[in-house]
Amino acid sequence: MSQAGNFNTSDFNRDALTRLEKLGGEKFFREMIGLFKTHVRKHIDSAGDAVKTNDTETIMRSAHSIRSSAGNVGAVRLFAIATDIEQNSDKDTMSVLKSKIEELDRCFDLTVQWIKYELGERYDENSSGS
Amino acid sequence: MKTVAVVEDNPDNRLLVQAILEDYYQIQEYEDGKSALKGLRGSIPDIVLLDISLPEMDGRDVLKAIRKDDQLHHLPVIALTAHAMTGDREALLAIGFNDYLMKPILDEDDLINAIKNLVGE
Repeated sequence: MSQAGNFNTSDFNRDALTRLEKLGGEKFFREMIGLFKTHVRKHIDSAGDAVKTNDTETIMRSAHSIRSSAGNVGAVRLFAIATDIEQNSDKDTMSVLKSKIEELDRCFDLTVQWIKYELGERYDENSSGS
Repeated sequence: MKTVAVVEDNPDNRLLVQAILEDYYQIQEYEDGKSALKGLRGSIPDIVLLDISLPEMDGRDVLKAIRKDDQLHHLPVIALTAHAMTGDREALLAIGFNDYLMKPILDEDDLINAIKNLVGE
């Protein structure tokens, strides 16, 4: 297992960030990162709320949306967890889904830390992407 | 410059598609199916990129509405989907999509070439 900082490099794909940086310039890149943070956070919260009401449809839709956003920034493990939730939301018990969403939440926080590590001083703590 | 309509609820995906295409095409953006149908009738593009998993009215339903619409039925429509199930491509082409692209879009050329193949430069 290789490490970059305290991060397991197999959980993240630095090339995806590099590609975004090259694709649209600094303003675009910062906006993408900001949108990733706000959009995924919103959908994790939505999935967490949906567990309380046994709303598997919302859980599935939120996981689907997170998966897409995770893929854009190279969040490999976040992508994998969201995929698992999306594909099994109609089979898993709510207890299992709750546990997976909590794992998703922790992985999201770790992903944001990874992005912060990779961007260094360029990281904008307050960027919302809007 | 030809016009590409992008129907996609994820704001980061809309921004990514815009960044890929803005040097080659004009972009119209819609975040849900209902606003897209209304907007497309008001300003008909040359091609539509249509997300499958949209809230309320999903991409398949939007496509059906496009194909039934006198003004829009001729439009080439490319499905954008994060689903990766075997047979998805065939199923989407069978219901009237002109092409199919997987998300995340990892190669810009795939998107540009798919559009070029249907509407040219």
